[in-house]
This record gives sequence, structure tokens and C-alpha cells, in this order.
Amino acid sequence: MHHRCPDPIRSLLLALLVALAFVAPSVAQERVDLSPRDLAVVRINIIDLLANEPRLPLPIKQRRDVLRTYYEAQNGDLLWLNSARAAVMVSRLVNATDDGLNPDDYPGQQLASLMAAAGETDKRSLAIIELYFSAAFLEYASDLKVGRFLPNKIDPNFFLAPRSIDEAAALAGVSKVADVETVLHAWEPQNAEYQALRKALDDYHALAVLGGWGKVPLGDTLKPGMTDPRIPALRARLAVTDGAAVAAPGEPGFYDEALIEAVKRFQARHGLDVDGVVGPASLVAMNVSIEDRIESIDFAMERWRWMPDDLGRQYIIVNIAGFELRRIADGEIKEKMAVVVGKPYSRTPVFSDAIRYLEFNPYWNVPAGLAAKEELPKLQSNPAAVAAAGFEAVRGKEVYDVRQVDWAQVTPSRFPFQLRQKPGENNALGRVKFMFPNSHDVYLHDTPSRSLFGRAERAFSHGCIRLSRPLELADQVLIAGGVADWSDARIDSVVASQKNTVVNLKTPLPIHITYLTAWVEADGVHFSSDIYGHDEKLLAALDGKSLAW
Amino acid sequence: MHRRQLAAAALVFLASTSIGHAGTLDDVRARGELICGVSEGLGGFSEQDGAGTWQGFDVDFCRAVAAAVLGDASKVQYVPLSAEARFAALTDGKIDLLSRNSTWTMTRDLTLGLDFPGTSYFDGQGFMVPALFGAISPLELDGASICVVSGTTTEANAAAYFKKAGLTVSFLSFEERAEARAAYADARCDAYTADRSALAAERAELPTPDEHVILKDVISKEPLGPVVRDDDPQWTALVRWTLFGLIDAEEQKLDAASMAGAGADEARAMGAPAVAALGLSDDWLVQVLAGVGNYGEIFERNLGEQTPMQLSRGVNALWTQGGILYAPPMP
Repeated sequence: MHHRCPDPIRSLLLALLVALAFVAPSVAQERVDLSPRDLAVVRINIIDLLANEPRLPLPIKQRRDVLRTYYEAQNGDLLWLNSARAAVMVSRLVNATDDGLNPDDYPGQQLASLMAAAGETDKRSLAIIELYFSAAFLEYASDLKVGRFLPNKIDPNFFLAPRSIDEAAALAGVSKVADVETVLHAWEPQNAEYQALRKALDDYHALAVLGGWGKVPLGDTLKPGMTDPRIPALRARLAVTDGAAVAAPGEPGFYDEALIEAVKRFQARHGLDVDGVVGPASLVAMNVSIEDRIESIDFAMERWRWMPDDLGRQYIIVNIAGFELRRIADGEIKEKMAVVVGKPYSRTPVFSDAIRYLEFNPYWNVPAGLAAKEELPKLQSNPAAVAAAGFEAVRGKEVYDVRQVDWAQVTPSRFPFQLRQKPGENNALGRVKFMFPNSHDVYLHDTPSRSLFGRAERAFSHGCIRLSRPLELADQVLIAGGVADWSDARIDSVVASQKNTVVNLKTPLPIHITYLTAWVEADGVHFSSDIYGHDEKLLAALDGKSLAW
Repeated sequence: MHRRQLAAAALVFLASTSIGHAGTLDDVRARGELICGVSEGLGGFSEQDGAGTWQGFDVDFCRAVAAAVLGDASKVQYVPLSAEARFAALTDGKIDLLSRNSTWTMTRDLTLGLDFPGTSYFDGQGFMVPALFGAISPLELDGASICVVSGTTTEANAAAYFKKAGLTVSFLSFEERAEARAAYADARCDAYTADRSALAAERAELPTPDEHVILKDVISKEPLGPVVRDDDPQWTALVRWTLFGLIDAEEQKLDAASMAGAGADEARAMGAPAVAALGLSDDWLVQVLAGVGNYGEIFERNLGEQTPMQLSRGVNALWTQGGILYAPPMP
């Protein structure tokens, strides 16, 4: 099948591959300097290879069109040969951990070896070396900007559109700026959250080099005022991340005021009850290794790469794993509130959309399955109680009092009504819902079950997101959505009327539902547990297990 | 042609009517030697060293069975077999045991008159690419030409994988592994696909092994293990419990060195039920472990990080250590 005629490109590639083995990267030269005439010859070779060579190495072949467009253009200067950029690029790839990426995934050492061998090679080989660098740069820029994985291939619960980078713009960007670090920085997600995580990652890597933190021995709950032989270990653990004094004044085993403050800081950063009491949950969180914490930061950075570039000037962002909603405007956090999200087996999906309208005093349309399974027995045994809870039955345009229906004639499989709960005190959706119509039937709403917001872990819903301060958010969203004539007082009177009222936003407000187990706040990096196991799936994907199929 | 088919049918008939005719164990004892089918040369699994001595993971399993039956791991006659010839050699009675990186499949188990006593190595198909490519996953191989050995399910597996992923690749297929490897080493294709254990062997043979990476993704299940004829339940049981004995011994932390001390008593107790049931000597498992070591020792010696194969235990770690290696309890 394959021809055996002399094959110049093969011997050339082979020579380059062999060169890798014999050059130690430590002696790699910083740059290769060529005369203008040599440069011109290399460029002619590049153009010829891209135009005419059928069998280029895969990373170059895959980007043939964009490379050809760049190098054939009048100002398509060489980017790596004759430039300090190559050494910087190599160092960035070798230090990919700084970006939360894995250096083993990039050919940093190999490119360094090629650079080192470049002095003694012919012009056609130099052309290949230049192209390898460009291909590696494009790969890295893409991984930085849009992530290594297609979100939905990792996890079917992520509904984020696959993205790609503008490779032509990336190459043009390199040619305009001498400093590759500046160029690559522009290909990182620019939002403050990603940048803060990247900085936190540096800090954690530095801590890891110093040995991270030791474990606090398991045992009875440690309480303020106690004297216990495990207190020095607790102190040492919190000295690393939460500013506890390593040595206590006076008795080393005494749980003093300063240590209480450090414990509370730690608890606040880990989604625990902030009570200064070190029970099993706090101990487990303290004993998670620094390597695992670094992994959480890596994963959060990868998930930010999956997010849209432009989140909006104003937007709502929900972090499912952190049980929190934020409203952001002009880069500032304007509002934070606790939310309840879906249970682990009815997970709130991850996606981006835009809030289009609010509905005050909403009806709750009972999902068909729930109506047939849970409500029908109650309707058959005690319809009066169901009516008292505010339910009515709708068929076509007719609305029926549930006490007037002969429920004995109705079966789960023949249930010809839409059951709904009228607005009012008991309504499952509370006083307002925020709609961003989507295929997942997910929205934000108020709830009569207020007590759940007092819990540290809040995964209780069927997938919708319940708000702790819905009317405040309604006020803000209406303003952000360009609906100006809705004062607090007007909202209050509409709610009091118990009349179903829809208010359309003039400008839809973007909403991003995310899943992040690490994020940065003023008091340091916050970590949450992996309630849905999404981190585990990402870890499996990094280990070559594609779970989506 | 027609007559030959009839003859083949008659052979199968004879084989299937001889169920219960236990004999392999007696034959091996009478002969004083186990005849074991191995590959014609696959790094780490079965190959001859410079002096002509057979060694490897599959070879060590032959030696373990010889130690169990004859009390001497060296009493093995090796028969190198091609992929095509291996099963016929077994059903024709030319060998007692086939220990040759063979995948346990339903078709082979049910239609060839064979028994698969267990899985000794959980393998799977993977990809090797030059490190220079910086590829993380096979999903980055769009447009690649891929070297493959023909006559196995390898090419079809890979084709199905890429079709499902919506990627276009082309295959360059070769009859012999050496040819496929040479083509890959020559940069005539971008990637090489085979079972990952075979890729590890191939990589070790390349001029610059460190410049090539085996991607982590596994795209097929390939449970490899010993194979016997299905007419001799006693022999099947012996091969099966020799394999389980190697695995259970690792779990119990019984290794070759411990057989010189207190470990021997423990191994004797573990293997006790087989003494009467299979007519083995009471120290059969001691002989196995003293002769070849436990599963972990066999793995590390032939395939481990310190060998040219550089394979980590991965899924072949004990179930207690994150792998799927799980042998029923002994005694």
C-alpha cells in the first residue's frame, strides 16, 4: 500500500527526532541567530512545506491552513527562530503547573532540545522547528483559553458550548509583541476569579514546597477552653493557612481565644459551621492534603476556561458547590446570598442563560410524575386537605376545585389534569420566581422552607435554585433589567395582593450556573466538598477515562 | 477441502465427547515436564534472552504451574506459537497450557473447545505518539495516520472509536509487529495503536524510547490470561488456583523470600484443599512461590517500572490497592 520511494521529509523528521535524544536540554541555547538571508531561505522552506508537503507531523498538519495563511502573508515573520521568544515559550511549557496544567502534556523539553540542535541543522529542518513551536504555542493558548476538554465529554451535567480560539489572531498577536508571556497572558481567562485562582495556585505551590501541613490526629471534638495534647497539632495546621500563632503563650495544649479565631477563619473558608468547635467535619477538612487542595484549584481553573469570555457587564452567578449566588456589576460583587440547590441525584445543571422575566405570586405547576405519584393518593383519600393547601386542577381552559373531581376515576397513567398550587403562603415557589426559560426547567425562586438556609450544606431541591432573600434580588434584577418603575413598595404591594403578576425585563440579565469547589475571597481560598462528584469525573478524564462514553 | 472439513469436524466431536477424561495432570507428571505455549517473542511477556532462556510474565506463569505440579519451576518445555496457530496447538493436544497474551472473549470460550481459567493481566488498547506532539488524548489525533498490525481486532476497535468521536484518521497496516514498529519509528505514521502492554514492549525497542509517550486512554477491554482445553476440569482447576494462589499470596504478603521461613506454613495452609482434590503435594503453593514469587513479584520483575516495559500496576493492582485484581479466598 505504502510507497517506498525516497522520502526527504521522513529522513528530515527522523533526524529531528534523533536529535532530541542526543541533546541535553540543560545546554540548550537561548536563541538561534540567523542572517537575514538565511531567514528568508527558512521562510521559503516553511511556505513550501505547508503548501506542498503531504506528510507533515500531526500537530503541524492539523494547523496547516492557519499556519500557511500566517507565514505566506507579507509580514509573516518568523516567530521563534531569531527570537528570545522560543526560550520563554519553552519555560512556560515546562512550568505548566503554574497555569494549573500538566507539563507532561506539552513538549517543552523536546522543543528545548530542538532549539539546541538548531545551530547545526539545515534550513528545511529549521523550518520544521519553527512550525513545531508555532503549533505548540497554539495548543497551549487554546488549552489556556478554552480548556483541555470539551465540558460535555467529561460530564453530561455540563451544558456549556464547546469553544475554540482564533488561531490566526493568536499567531498575529505573537508577531506584534516581543514578550510571549504578555501574549500568553492575554489568552488566559481575564476575569478576576480565574486570575485570583492562578495567584492562589502560586501560593499553594509555594506552601507545598515547604511541606504543606501536617495532620491533626483524629479524636474527640476540640472545644474552646479545653486543654488537649492535640492542640499543638491543630495550632500548627492553622498556622500554615489561617494565621494561628505556632507557639501559644503559656500552656501549649490550651485552646485559647486566638486559636478560636483561626478555627473560625478556617471554617468560614470551607463551608463549615463557623462555631470555633473542631468536630469531625472540621477535622476532615483540615486533614485534606495540600495536593488535593491544589487539584481543586486546578479543576476550578479548568472550569473557568469553559465559561463564556464575556459574562456580561452585569450578571448573576450561582456556584452550586458553594451554595451561593452573587450579583456582579462592573466587576464588583454587589450581592451575595445563600441558595439551596439540587440534591445529588437531582443535580442542578451547569449552564449559562439570561433571566427574561420575573413572576410574582407564581402558580406552582406540579410536575406530572410528582402529581401522579405523590398527590393522587392524597387527592383520593382527602381532597379537602389538598384544596386547603392551595391546589387546584386545570384541564384545558377549565379550572376545577379539587373537591369537585371524582378522583376514584383517575389513575397515575390516566391523569387528565395539570395540578397546580395557587399563589399564597404555602406556595412551593414562594412569592417570586426568576425565569430564564431553558430545556432543564431550572429557575430561581423563593421558598416557604426557610430553615434550610441555616444549614452549611444546602443540596435539597429537585434541581431548581431556592433563594434566601428573593425580594431583594427581585428589586435588583428589575433595576438591572431596565425596568425602572418597580419600587420596593410596589413589589411589597403586589406580593401582598397575592395576584399572579409577570414582569418582563427590558434587558435580559445573564445568569451563569457554575460548579466550583475552589474560589478566592478576601480572606483567602475557599474550598467546598464535591457534592455532585464532578471533580471526580474531571480527575478520571485527566487519567484517560472518558466517562461520557 | 471437503474431506478436511469433515476431519476437522470429527476432531471437534472427539474433543467434545472426551469431557471428563482427566488426563493432563497425569500426562505432565508422567512426562516430568509441562509443555507450555508462549508467544514468538513479546517484550516483558515471553521472549528468549541472549542465552536462549525463556523469560517474561507469561513464561513465569508456565513456571508457576510446573512448580505446582512437579515441584520444579524449571521443568517446562516452551513452544513458541503465532497468533493464528495458538488455539489449534492447544486443542490438538500439542501443548498442555497456553500462556500467550490471549484475550478471553465469549466466542473463544464457547466455540473453540477452550477454557479460560482466569485473567492474569487486564490489558486494553491504547496509542503511542511522539512526545514532541504534546497530545494528551486520542481525541487530539484528528487527521492522523496510524500504524497498526493487521489480523486482530485492533484496527476495527480504533476505527469505531474515531468514528464515534467524529474524527477522521487513516490506518497503515502491517502483518508483522516489527514492520509496524519500523514504520512508526520512521515517522511514516503519526501514532501506533496496539494493546498497551504491547505498546510498552514496542516503545522499549525504539531507538529513543523516552521520546515517545503512551496515552492514558484505553479504548477496549483485553483481559489476558492462561488458556486450557475444556475437557479436563481437574486441569482447569489446577491452572485457575495456581493463578489465584499467586494473587492471594501477594494480598497475604507472602513472597518468595518468606518461603524460607514462617511463610511456608501459611502457604501450605492456603493451598491445603488442593492436595487431596487435585492430588498435589502438600507444599505445592510453597514450591510455586519459592520458584517464581507472588503476582506482584512476577509483575515487577517482567513489566514493572524498573524494566524496559516501565508499566505501572494500574488496574492490575490488587483490589485492596485501587486495582481490580481480585482472587477468591483460600483456603
